[in-house]
Amino acid sequence: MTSSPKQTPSQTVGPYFAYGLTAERSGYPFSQWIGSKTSSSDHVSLTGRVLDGEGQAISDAMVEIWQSEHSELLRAGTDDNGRYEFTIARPNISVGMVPSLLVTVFMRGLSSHVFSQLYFPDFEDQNDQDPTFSAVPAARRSTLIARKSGHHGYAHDIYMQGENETVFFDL
Amino acid sequence: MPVLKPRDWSSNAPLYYPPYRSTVLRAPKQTLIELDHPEDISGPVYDGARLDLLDHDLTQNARSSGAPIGERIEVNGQVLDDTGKPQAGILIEVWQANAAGRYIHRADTHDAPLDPNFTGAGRCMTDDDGRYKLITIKPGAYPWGNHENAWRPQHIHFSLIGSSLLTRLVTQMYFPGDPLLDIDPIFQGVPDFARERLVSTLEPGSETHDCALGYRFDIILRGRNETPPELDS
Repeated sequence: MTSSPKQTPSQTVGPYFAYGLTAERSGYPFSQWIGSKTSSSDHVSLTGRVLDGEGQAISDAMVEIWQSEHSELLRAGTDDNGRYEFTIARPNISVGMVPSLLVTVFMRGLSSHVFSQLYFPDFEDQNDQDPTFSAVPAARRSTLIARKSGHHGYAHDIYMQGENETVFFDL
Repeated sequence: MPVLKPRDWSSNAPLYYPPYRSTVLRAPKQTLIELDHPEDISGPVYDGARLDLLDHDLTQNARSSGAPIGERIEVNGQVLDDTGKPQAGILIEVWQANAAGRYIHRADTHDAPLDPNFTGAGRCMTDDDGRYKLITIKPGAYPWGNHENAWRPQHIHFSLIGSSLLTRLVTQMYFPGDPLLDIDPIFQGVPDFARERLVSTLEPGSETHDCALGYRFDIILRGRNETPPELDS
């Protein structure tokens, strides 16, 4: 019996992924399969910044989000100000589930991608019933909640390190 | 109910790894939170019919005036999980420098020429046996400023998305015998027993033998522990 193969290690996504992975929004001539906008007609904006341990903008990060109610994977790179932009389906509570997004972060300087979650301020009371949310020490839960932005949108900053470090999960 | 196996962190570079300078301000310092009852998260299903005929052939998918410069190579491989099960329907996206070691990305200002016939981006999907094929030019090494006289070994970036978002992988494929591997902090950060999994091997491809040098690169993703039915809850 042959022994089982071992998992291939991760390596950093590096600084030059944009023309391959986020080509259209970054202005490169290559078609992008995984975009940053939902196909749902009822949509809202989600923007934010990705910041390093000194609070500086990370302009070469890639963020992927998964909205399970819509089975959609969206992807965006950060701009020179460290800002990413998504158009997501409007989060709605559904039977037994608090709306949340699975967030995956990649960048130069990150050898393996990390997972986070994003919850919405509209469902503050129900968020506590989410098993993943309640697994987080109370003092750090605020790093996982988006804030309202503009009329209908949301904003959420991701802090890789430092006193406001976002909660990352080993999923 | 099959349970997804954990990420093999022991085979990965530590997130905080000062020889790779960018990690110092970007690696999370807090322990990653584990869940008691982690749930596998089904991911997107991609339709292979969307692939353009030349998406997998980087020697052709960006031509303007002729063939790109450099050594034409064929990369073949199989994507399996760590129970040995072939992974069909995996989306593989690749990107790389040209033969001179230059990326088309605006931020790459390395003084090496761009190739008007090469973009260095491609994609493919694994077939029912988990197999894939890419045709490309062997990328050149390039300087990256991490330390004095730092040069990345020749490499192709790979991103894989499969039926579970939790088996997602971004990695790099290296070439056998590259002397830069011994002194590259990104590669050396990986524990030594695991490094060979990132290095391709010379293996003839299916293209005519004098057309492209063949390399093989298998990729192993997280698999699932099957639990006996009577223990299902």
